[in-house]
Amino acid sequence: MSEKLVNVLLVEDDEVDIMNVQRAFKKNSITNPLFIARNGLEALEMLRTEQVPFPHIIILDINMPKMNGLEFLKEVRDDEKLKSASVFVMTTSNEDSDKLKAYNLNVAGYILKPLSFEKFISSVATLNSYWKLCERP
Amino acid sequence: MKLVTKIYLSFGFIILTFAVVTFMYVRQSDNVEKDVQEALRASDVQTHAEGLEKAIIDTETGIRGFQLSDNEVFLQPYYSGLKEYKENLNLLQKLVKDPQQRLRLQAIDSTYQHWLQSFAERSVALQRSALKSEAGKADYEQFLQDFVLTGAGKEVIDSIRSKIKEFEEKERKIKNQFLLNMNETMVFTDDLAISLTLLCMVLGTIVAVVLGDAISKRLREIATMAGEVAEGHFNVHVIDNKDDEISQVSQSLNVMATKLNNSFSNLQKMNKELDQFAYVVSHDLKAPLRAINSLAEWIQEDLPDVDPDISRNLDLMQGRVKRMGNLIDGILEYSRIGRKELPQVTFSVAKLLDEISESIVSNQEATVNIPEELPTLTTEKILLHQVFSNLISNAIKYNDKPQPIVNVGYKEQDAFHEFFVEDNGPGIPKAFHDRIFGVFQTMEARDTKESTGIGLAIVKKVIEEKRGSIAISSEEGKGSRFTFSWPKQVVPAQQPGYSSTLNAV
Repeated sequence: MSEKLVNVLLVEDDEVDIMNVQRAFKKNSITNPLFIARNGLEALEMLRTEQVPFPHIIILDINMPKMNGLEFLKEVRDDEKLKSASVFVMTTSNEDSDKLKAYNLNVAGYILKPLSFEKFISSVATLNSYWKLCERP
Repeated sequence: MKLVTKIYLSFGFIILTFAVVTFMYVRQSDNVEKDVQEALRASDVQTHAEGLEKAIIDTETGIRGFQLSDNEVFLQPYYSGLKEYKENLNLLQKLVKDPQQRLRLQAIDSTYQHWLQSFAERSVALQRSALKSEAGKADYEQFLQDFVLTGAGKEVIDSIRSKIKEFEEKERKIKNQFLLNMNETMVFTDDLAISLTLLCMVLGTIVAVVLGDAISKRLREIATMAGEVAEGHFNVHVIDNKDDEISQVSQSLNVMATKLNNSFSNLQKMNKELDQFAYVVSHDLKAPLRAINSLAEWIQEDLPDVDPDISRNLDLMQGRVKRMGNLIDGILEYSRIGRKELPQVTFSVAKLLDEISESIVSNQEATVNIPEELPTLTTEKILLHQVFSNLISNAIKYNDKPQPIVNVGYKEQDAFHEFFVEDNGPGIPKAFHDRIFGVFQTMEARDTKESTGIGLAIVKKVIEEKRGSIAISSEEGKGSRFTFSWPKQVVPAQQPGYSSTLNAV
């Protein structure tokens, strides 16, 4: 089974949260290439200059400096080339308004960052098996 | 112009008109009375003029009878006629006021007096002397020759009679004139009275309709606006350019609405800020916490042989981090009560309690007794769920018996539903009954029982937001019972702050 690994773009400003994801990848033996952007603007730049090769998925935090996750999502959906991207929101915000806005921008999922790392690992594992299942163009 | 002034003026005008009607009526009836009296007087004059004529005829008849018969007895009508003439003339002189008629009367009298002196009295005197002596006879014969046979006497009488006739005719005309006047006066009075009364009625109706319409229309506008305000739409105004009592009310209402609108917008702004604050708290305060937690876990993972002291400290650190997270969640939940409009749902309380007790009891040795008779309510289900789950989980969590028992009870009151949650736990001493409803108040050190102390504060806030009340009855060692009321009336979701202000108005 020759599978093409999906590229993961993590848009996250918190150093520890980035480490969190990296560690969780290691724990779950996820070998997908991981690209990191520290805010929405940086992520857009990376996508537009094709630094992140297709196929890719995006893991997105909401609360970030310069351009937050929702603003980034809007830009992505308005961009002819990028609008088909699968985006998973992974945030601490439990606000109904944020969830509603995110789903209105066609996110593939909205995941609350759990407080404990162990739970986070299992969330990432679930995500991994999910995007493995999905067929991509 | 003031409204009261307008009303007074309108009614004053109507009353004035009626006063005029009455005054005219009295005056006109005076006129009628005068006319009637004049007419009656003219009638009297006519009667007496007839009497006068009859008296003159009587005197003439008396003279003629005496001349023919030479018998003094025939003079009787002459004398009675004279007497009657005097009486009637006196009365007529008193009654007749018209100067022309008076002249006519005078002419009649002077002609008659002339006839009496020159004919009647002379005739009688000459006839008497002729009867006494032959010498007188010649004179008498001569007299008869001159006056009677030539018809001079008759001429005089005829002229008197025609004069009387003329006099009577005039008097009849005068009488008719008065009667005519009277009729005219009466018709005029009637017309005047009817037209003024009609005018008053029309005027009164117009005033009533116009005033009533104006007042009720404006009052309706005010009522509509007040209704809008009561429903929570503060951006309304009544347009009223008049200058009276109602416009004062409208202006005050406008000012009130503007003020309410301002404070409401302010409140909304503050609520938004508070929401923003809650968002910041939930996200920004929890992010570092999560990082600390993760780092602690990694340290524990990365150190192969951890000193048990370090390991314990790291565990404690994680425990505190978790507690901090719970405290943040609790304070968020507490601050959210009443700030969010929640859906009103119709649901069975029995089902709700089943759900709650199932989720709480599942892994514990506890019994929750739910009564059979429970109502179906239409209210914010989420809020009642919050109340019951907090009370029931507290009852089990802080229970010191091996077999915790929780009893839920229900009693229907007039205006509200009364529930209680009772346990067989350690009970709470009276001294702490007020304290336990405070934010972050716990009965035991947080280390013994991991708790935030926000549960009862949330319960109390939810119930008070719904205009209900909660009370505890408990003694140490005898368990506790929390009794709360939940109003039956569906209260629309209140924005905190201005609800109390509205009630005060």
